[in-house]
Amino acid sequence: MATSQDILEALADYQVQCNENQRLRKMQRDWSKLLHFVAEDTGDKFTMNVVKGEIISFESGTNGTPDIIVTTTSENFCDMFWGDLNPSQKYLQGEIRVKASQEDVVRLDAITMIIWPDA
Amino acid sequence: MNTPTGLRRVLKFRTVVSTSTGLSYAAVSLLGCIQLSYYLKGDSGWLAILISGLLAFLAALCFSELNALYPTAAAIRLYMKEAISDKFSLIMTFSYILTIVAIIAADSYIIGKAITYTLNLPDWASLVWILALLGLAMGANLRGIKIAGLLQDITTYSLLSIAIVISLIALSRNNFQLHSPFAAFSDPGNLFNAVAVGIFVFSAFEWVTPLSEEISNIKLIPRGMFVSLILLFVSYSLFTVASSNVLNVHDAGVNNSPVPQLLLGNAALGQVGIWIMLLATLLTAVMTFNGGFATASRFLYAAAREDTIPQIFSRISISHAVPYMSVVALTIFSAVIAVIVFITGKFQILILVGAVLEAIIYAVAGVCVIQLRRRKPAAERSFRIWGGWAVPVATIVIFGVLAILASIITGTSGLMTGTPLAITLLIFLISGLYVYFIVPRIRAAAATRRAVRTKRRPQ
Repeated sequence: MATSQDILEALADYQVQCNENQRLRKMQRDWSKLLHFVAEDTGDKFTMNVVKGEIISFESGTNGTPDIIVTTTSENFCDMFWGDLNPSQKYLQGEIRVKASQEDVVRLDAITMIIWPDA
Repeated sequence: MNTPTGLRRVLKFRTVVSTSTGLSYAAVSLLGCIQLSYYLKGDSGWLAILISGLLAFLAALCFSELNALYPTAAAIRLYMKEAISDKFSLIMTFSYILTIVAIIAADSYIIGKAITYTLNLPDWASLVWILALLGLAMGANLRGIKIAGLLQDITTYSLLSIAIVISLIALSRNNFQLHSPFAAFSDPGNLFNAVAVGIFVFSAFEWVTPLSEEISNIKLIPRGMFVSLILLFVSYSLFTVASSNVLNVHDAGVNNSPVPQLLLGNAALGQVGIWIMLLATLLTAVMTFNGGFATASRFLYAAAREDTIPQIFSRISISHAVPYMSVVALTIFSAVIAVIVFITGKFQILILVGAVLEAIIYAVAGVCVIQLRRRKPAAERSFRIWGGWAVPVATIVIFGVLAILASIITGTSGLMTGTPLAITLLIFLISGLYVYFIVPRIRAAAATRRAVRTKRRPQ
């Protein structure tokens, strides 16, 4: 079970990887979303704000009304944000659940695929 | 600050209904209505539509319970894997994708024919239109253009309205005098055949379940499917009765025509009616190409990311965030099928094979409901079919019988007996061989690739 601090560290790395990847920034240039992450085993919640493909902030707790809600275990969140997990596989196994439009579900997975093609 | 979590944008019930209805309302469904009325005397085709619709209601109940258990776009993979096995789930998923491709192909063929008929062009022009339409659909999907929300609602409800109004005008030509509207009961054998074909005309109503992730209340999905089935029944039955009333559906010129909806339009309002029904046909294409391409391309993308088909299908366009290789592959596959249908003219086979595949999928849904009740009795379900095992067992038995029946009937074009059965078996054989022999290799290669990768997460 990962702690809230573990997930925040993973999110910090994820933010750098996303924001520095020019291909990803180009693909997400019109993608502005508020995301909520819910760790179902620990109850920890996080908010991420993406504006035109740039992750401008993330924090503990849920703020605002989200466009996307991702629910899974704290371990899966850590692995996903460190790029050690294929989100599609976990999604198709029912371990990651997403509330969002189908386009956004594909985009969420594509982020990982573009940053870490070997994940 | 912790606040309750609900999505900023959720789909409304109106859109759930229009999605379910629009995905089912393909141009080939109208040909299915003519095919089933061919088996019945008088204007009694509506009885087959009614029975098929009521049976589809059973399947809708099963899908509702499964969707309540797995409210996700990946539901079909999950419930079949949990209830039966991963390999079975993959075989059925690939068959599902093939059904979508077949419907896209059939619709492009019918629309190409409809344009040629309306503009009085030579037959070869249909092929040009078919390829042009598929190219247009591919271009729109590659650019990420998607008809959604209000525009989708307007398209679907306009389509329903046009079909209903033209049917009523056609019926008014004979002062609404029906010929033997209950004659189907005098020939139960042919009524069963017609019901088997009728399964096809309602097919795809259940494709609305992937919207579970975009709605606020999961119960909207079952309600949407039920309302959709009613709307489809009203529209299809009026179209069927009007067609049998003003056209001779037992004549090969009508029942083997790829454009019977235009013939009905002509009977109702002359040339104006033809143009109106061409518009309706184009609206069905919008829905089929929009929903079909989006659903199937995402299925392929997910399958590639899951290591069940080659990775190339997961390639995504940086310009438009679209899984472009999946879209291109779907277009090519649809075009091949459409060209084969154009050359042979045997569109009826797509209807019959589609009916067999849908009936099998519905029967499997019944099996999954029972298996998951046994394996996950305590799992939370926001929708549970009442009456114990009665509905899922009835679904398995009835659709199992209908699948067999649809696989051995010959349709209006005098196909060799058992042709749909042979094609269906071939589809499952190819899917099965692929899943048992190719998928393990793709997965092994992916596992080897990942094994040499260094984990980034600090230990």
